[in-house]
Amino acid sequence: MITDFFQYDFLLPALIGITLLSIMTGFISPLLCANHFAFIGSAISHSTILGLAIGLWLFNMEQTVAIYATTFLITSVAVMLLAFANQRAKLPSDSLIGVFYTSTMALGLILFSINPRAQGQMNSFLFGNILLLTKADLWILVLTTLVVFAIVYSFHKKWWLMSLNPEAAEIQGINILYMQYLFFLIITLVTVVSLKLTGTILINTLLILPGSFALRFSRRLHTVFIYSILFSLITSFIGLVLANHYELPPGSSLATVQFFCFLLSFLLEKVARLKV
Amino acid sequence: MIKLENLTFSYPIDNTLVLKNISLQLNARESLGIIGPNGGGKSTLLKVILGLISTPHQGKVFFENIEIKSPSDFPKNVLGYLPQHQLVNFVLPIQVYELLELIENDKTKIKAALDRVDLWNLRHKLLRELSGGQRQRALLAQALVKTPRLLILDEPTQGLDSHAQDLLHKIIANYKNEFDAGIIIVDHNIKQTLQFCDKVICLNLGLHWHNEKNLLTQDIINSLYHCELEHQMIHESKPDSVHSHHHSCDHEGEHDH
Repeated sequence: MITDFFQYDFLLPALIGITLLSIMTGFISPLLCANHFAFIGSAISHSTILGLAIGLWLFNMEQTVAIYATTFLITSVAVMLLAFANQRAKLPSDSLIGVFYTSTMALGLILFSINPRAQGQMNSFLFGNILLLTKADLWILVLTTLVVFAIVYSFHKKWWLMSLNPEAAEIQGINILYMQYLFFLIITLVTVVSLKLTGTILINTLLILPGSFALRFSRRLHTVFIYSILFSLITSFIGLVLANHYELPPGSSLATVQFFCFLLSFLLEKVARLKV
Repeated sequence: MIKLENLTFSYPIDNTLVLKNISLQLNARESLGIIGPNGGGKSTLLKVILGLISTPHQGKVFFENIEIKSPSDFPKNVLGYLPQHQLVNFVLPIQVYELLELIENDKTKIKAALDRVDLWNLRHKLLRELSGGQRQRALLAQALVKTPRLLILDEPTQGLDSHAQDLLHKIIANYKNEFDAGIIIVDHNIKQTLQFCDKVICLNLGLHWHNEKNLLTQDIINSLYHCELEHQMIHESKPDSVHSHHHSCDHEGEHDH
């Protein structure tokens, strides 16, 4: 079962890709959950469809870097506009986010449907398709993991302070708006590089569940990241192995395994408490 | 230390006058209590002082001759802030020691702050597993860890029993005297504010203000709160027993002193 990953050419890149993505999402997930960015994170990941559709309009599938760069650029601009409008809008924040991601996604899907080059690829990017992974994808993943690590490590204390109380954080000299924008850009980056692995929809599981698990079970702030990354890595690996063995879509398998492990952890905790 | 000059503020959406022509001065080693009914402008005044409200207002706020328009106008490390208890996210798995580590790397300073609030022995406890009083002291330790010269506390005693309230006020008073700090406290508890603060300002949507504690008579407070002071005191001392009893008082007058 596990030896398959070394026998088939397409499985090893998938394993490496999922490992890097799990480390990355495991690292940002606790901060995303603690700062209540889950919904906006979901909106960002859905809206990448628009950027991707434009990227595929402009470039061939083989031009990986150009497609990723276009998707990141367009999604970032859209997300910044959303964040900016959110500060001034008269609509409730969740309504505005809802309007944003459904409309950008709808527009993206239209562009997909009228682009002959992209037809048939839509599902691959919504739910992931590891067969599309190339060496360039893996190098981009390595680079992105390093960048995300460096940024989050540098600013994690600020995001923790913001999650405790934004007003107190602002008084400590933290520019709340800039820090929010920076986090949204990180979510955008992670979503863009995960397009072929999990797709824009299922990436949300990796963004939310590891952090939720870690915040619940860690007994120290220092170990939250370790809990989150381990949860993300182990469940992703199991998900990928099961997907290969039972010929399931990897993204869906991974998301389902994460959910059941999350559920199981709560049940085990309840049982442990009953025994005490 | 802090100087307000003719501060007037109304929210742009409905033009409700919240603060009307407030001038006051807070010196080092002085404490200012801000009291008043709900929605009377206490939090707004605090936000204007801190520079958190960017909407233009009339009048000026100074910290040692520096005009304050945003929190970043305060010199580094001079400001300590304790937010309202219910607005703090206690879901985080954060230990007391880690709470202070978020803003201070110096272990000696962290120990000193935790000793000051008597929480050194509980430094490895999770914040969410502490009692209400202990949590407030942990947050106070975080506000004090950089030994700020100006300490601002937003309803620090809310939800605490009288013992925890007294303990918190004593820690604050000791800090003020030891470091010559200025203290600003927003509080619902009139009795304690009058007892612990050197100056008191009472607010009710621009109707009234006063910054001389000895001139703040019971009649004035009664009229600002639109009900009897005694009634307020009963509410504070026996919240459950009188909670269901309605009261009403007519109040027409405005006072300016």
